[in-house]
Amino acid sequence: MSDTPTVLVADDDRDILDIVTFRLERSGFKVIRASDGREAHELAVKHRPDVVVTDVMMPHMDGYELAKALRSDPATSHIPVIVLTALSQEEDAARAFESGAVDFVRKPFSPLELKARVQAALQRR
Amino acid sequence: MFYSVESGMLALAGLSVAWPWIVLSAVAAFAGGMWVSSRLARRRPRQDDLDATIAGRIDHEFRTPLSVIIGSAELLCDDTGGGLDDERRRLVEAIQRAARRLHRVVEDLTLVGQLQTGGFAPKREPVSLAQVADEVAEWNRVDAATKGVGLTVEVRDPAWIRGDPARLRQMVDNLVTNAVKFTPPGGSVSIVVRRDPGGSLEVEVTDTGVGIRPEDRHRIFRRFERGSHAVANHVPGPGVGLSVVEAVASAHGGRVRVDSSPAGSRFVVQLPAAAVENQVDEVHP
Repeated sequence: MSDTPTVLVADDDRDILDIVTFRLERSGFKVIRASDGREAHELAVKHRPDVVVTDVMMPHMDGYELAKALRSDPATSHIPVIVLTALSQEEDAARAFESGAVDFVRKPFSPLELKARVQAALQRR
Repeated sequence: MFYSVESGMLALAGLSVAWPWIVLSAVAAFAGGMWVSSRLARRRPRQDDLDATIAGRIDHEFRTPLSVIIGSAELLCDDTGGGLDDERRRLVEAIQRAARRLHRVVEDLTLVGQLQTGGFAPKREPVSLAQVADEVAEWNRVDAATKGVGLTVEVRDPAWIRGDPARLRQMVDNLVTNAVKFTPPGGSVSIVVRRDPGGSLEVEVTDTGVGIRPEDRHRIFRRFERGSHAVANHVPGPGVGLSVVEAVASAHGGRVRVDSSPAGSRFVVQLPAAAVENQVDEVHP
């Protein structure tokens, strides 16, 4: 991990991207943004972030597929994935963990809590 | 039941699901097509399925915009990003309280959907009902104070239980929110947590509000039903709060009872001794 941890945030809602970016950058993280799952996957392979925070329902590739793709690639399998979603059922959380996510955060969320979860994911690495 | 929902928000959301059936049924009736009509009747989704679908859609569609409201307000109030003067901070806090009210409705509808689909699986973790009561009181303190209603918490006994912390908070919050809503200025709401002689835990929420008419006392626990006072006085609310209270109590092996008079109401949630956790908890007056 570099001195400034890098977090890749993927969400097709620009307002959510702005809020998460604002909170994480203010807390000392470097943030890379993606607006769909495919772009997130490409950026993850290219930049190897320390943590990925991803929405589920996104164009081209959903968050579950993104988590699976990262987990199955030796180059990215070490990156913890946090799923941040408006899906609220227990089976949604189960599917996220089955896909390789290390944490599941339901919307609406507190940016402060999300930051704490990112820090916890970094410490568990 | 579905069509009697008073909230415009819910009615619109419901319409978006029901409109194909309404339109097709109207066309069939206009053409005198009884056969078509009967076919439609057979294909029409059951009411419970519609309720679950509507609840699910509202739940999902509201969570992202609520995240934006709650997240932005939190960032504005944050010391590192705020710099707000007192007046503007109070405005942002008003946004946070309004968002919390919406969040509460969304959580209730989520649970309604889970109950309909059989997807409600409460967690079983140690939960302090004393802490739940304190948190819920804190959430409701500003609304009560703004209205001029006193709000107190009294924990008489250690109050640990094995249950679902979020759902237990939701249950107590629905009771307290209702109590504040239906209590006029100058009145009071109290939350008491105690053990009964048989070892069960009780959460009692008492108010000095308008009371519940005897003919309403069973009806108010049904989904999307509201008491006649709420209807007559246009008190806002989707009418799912008490059904959630009963469902959560029941999922923990408990039950809810209500006493009411024109001088106020008392709701008691009794949770069985079997669910009680033997942990040490502080007791405060």
